[in-house]
Amino acid sequence: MIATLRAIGFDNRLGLRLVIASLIVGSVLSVLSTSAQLGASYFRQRTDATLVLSRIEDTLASPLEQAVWTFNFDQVDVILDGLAADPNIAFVELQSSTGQSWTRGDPDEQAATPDDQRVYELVHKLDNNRSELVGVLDVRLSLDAVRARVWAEFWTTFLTNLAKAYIAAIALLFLVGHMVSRHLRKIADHVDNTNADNTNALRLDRAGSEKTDDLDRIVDAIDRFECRTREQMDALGNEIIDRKQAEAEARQALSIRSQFLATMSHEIRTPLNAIMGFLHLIATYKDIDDKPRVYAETATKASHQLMSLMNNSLDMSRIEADAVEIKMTPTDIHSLAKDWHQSAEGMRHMRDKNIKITLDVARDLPPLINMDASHVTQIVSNLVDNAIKFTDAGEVDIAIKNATSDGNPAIDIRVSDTGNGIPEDARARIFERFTQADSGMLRAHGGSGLGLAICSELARLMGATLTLDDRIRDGFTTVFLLRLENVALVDLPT
Amino acid sequence: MFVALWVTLCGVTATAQTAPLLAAADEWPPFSGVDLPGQGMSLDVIHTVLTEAGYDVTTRVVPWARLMGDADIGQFDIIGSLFADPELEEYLIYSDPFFLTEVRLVQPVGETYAFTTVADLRPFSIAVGDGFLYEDEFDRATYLEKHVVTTTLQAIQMVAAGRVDLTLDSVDVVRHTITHDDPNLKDRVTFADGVLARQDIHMAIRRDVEGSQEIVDAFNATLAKMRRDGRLETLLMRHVQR
Repeated sequence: MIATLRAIGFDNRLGLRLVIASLIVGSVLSVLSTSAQLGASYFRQRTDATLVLSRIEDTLASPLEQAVWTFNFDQVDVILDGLAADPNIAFVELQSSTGQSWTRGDPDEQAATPDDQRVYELVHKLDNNRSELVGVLDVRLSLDAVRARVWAEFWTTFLTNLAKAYIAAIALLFLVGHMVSRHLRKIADHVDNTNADNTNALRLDRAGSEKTDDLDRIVDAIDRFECRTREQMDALGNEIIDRKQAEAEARQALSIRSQFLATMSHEIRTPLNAIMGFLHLIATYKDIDDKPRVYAETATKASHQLMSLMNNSLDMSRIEADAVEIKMTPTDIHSLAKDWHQSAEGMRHMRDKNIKITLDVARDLPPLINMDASHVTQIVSNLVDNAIKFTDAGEVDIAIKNATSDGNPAIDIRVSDTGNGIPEDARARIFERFTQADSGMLRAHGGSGLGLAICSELARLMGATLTLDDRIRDGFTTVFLLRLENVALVDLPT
Repeated sequence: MFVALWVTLCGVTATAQTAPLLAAADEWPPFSGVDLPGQGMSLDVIHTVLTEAGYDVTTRVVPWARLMGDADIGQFDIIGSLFADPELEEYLIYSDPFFLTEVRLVQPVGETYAFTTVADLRPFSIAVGDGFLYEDEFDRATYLEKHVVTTTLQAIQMVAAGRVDLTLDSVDVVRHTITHDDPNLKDRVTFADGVLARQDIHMAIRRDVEGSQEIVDAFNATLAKMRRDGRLETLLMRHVQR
C-alpha cells in the first residue's frame, strides 16, 4: 500500500501541496461552474415549465372547449389527464357552464401556493358574432419538480466535476513527481554528497530537449558553482600549505628568539651582577676618596637601570611568547602587604626621597586569597616604584580593600601618590608600550617605558584589570587601581 | 340404443358446423354492449336463434372501426346490429330483420317542431353521431348544419343545453341512453312528431364463411319459428322499452 502510494507520488510533499492547492481551487471552481450551469438550467426549465401555460392557450383550450361544448366528457378526461401528466402541473380544475366539474391533482398541497397560475375561459363562438362561455379552466403550476430535478442535477454534476478534479489531481501528482520532484531530490542528494573526493557531474535522468527549462538551468548553475568551488578549494589548499610553512618558520624564529633571550639573560646577568657587586664594594669601601666613591655610586645606578631595562625586556618577551605561567595559590594578603610596604620603604631610601609611604589594609579582608602572589607583587612593585620615582614630596599610599565585580567578590589594590600627576592627554595611552606621560620624564627619571604595559598584560593574564583611576581624592594626584576579579576567597582551616 | 342415437345427432351437427361461429357487434346500446344483458339485443337474438338452429356461437363486442376495418375483415364470421346497407352486400349476406326501430328527431321540451322533410331541417343545427347512418337522404344532406359528436348522450345533452336545435337517433337508443346515462334529460328533451326513417335490424354473415347461406337460412327459419311462438317478442322486450 505504502509502496503504491509512493509510486504515484504521495510521499512527494511538494507535489501534495500543489495537488491540495489544485483541489481547493478546483473544488471552488467546480462549485461556481456547477452553480452557474444549474442556475442557467433552472431558469431554462422554469421557462419551459411556464411555456406549458402558453401551450394550453395555443393547443389545448380549443379542443377542450369543443369537448365541453359537445359534452364529449371522455375527451375532456383525456385532455385533462394529458395536462395533469405534466410534472409541473400541480392542480387543474375545470368548471363547465352546465354544472359539470373535473379536477386533477391535490388542491391542498403545492397548488395552494402555486409558482404560477392561469385561468382560461373556454368560449364557444356561435354564428353572428355570438359566443357562449362553456367552462373555466384553472391551471396551477408548481416548480417543485423542477427544483428537485435541478438539485439532483447539481449533485450529479458537482460530484462528477469533483471526481474529475480528483482524478486530474492524482494524475498531476504523478506527473509532478515524475517530471519535477524526483529530479529535485536527485539534485539535493547530489549537492549533499558532493565533496572534494566526489566530483561527479550532476546529470538528470530525463530526455534531452533543444529548449532548456528551469531544471536544465539549475543543473548548469550547480555545475558552474561546483567548478568555481573546486577552483577556490584548490587556491585555499595552496594558501593553507603556504601558511603552514610560514607558521613553522615563525615558530622556529620564536624558538630561536627565546633561546637567544634566555642565553642573553644568563650571559648578561652574570657579568652585570658581578659588576654591580664590585661597584657596591667600591662604593662602600672606606679607604677611597669621595670622587671615586661618587663614580662608583653613579655606575651602580646605571647598572640597576640596565638590569631593570633588561628585566622588563625579558618580561615583555615572555609575555609575547606566551611563556608567562600563572600560578594561583592561597596567599596571606596581610603579610604580603607588609612586604610591599617594606620594599617601598627600601625604594624610597634608595631613591633618597623624603616622602611618606603609607599602607592601608582593610580589616575585613579575608586572611587568605587565591592569587598569583608573584605577579601581583611584580605589578604592585612597579606601580610603587613609579609612584616614588615621580613623587618628590607628600606621600605614596598602598590601599587594599574588598570589592565586588558583577556581584562577585574582588580585591581592589590602589597605589596612589602626590607626585606630578599624569597629563590629561597622556592618560589614554599610559599602558601602551614605550610610553611615558612626558618624554622629558624619560630623561629625568630613566625607564624603558615598558613597565605599565607589562603590568597591564600581566593583570590581563591573571584575569585582573589595571586602570588609571579618574576619581582623584584625598590630595592624591595619581591613583592606579588593580582589581583582582573572581578571586576565590579561602577560609582559614578551623 | 339411446347412446347410439345421441352420437348420430352429434355427428350431424358436427357436419353442419366444423368450428364455433364468432359473432361481433359494436357498442350500440341497447342493440349491443359489453355490459348489457346477453351483450345486447342483437347478440342475444343471434346467439339464441343460432344456438337453437344447432350452431355453436361465440359473441363479442368490439369497436365499430375494428368491426368494419379492412385489416380485421375475416376475424369475425357474423356481424350484428346492422341496418341494411346495399354496399355491404358485396361480401355480407343479410338475414331477415328481427327488429324494427324508428329514427326520430329529438328536441328540447317546449319546442313543437314536427318533421316533414329533410330539406325542412335546413334552418336547424343538428347533432349527429360520428359515422352514424340514419337515413339515406339525411346522411347525404350536406347542406344541413350538422354538428358531429361521438355519442348519442352527447347529442341529447347538447339539445338539452340548447347548443343545438335537434338531434336524431333510434328512439330505442335515445330512450336507453336517457334511462341509463342521464335520467335528468327525460324532463328536458322530447321526440319531435314525425318519423325520419324506419330501420330494420339485421344479422349478416360473411359470404366467405363456409356454409354461410345455409347458416342464414337456418337463422331465418328459426327466427320465423320464434316470432310465431312469441319467444322473439319476449326476447326483444328484455332489451327495449315500448
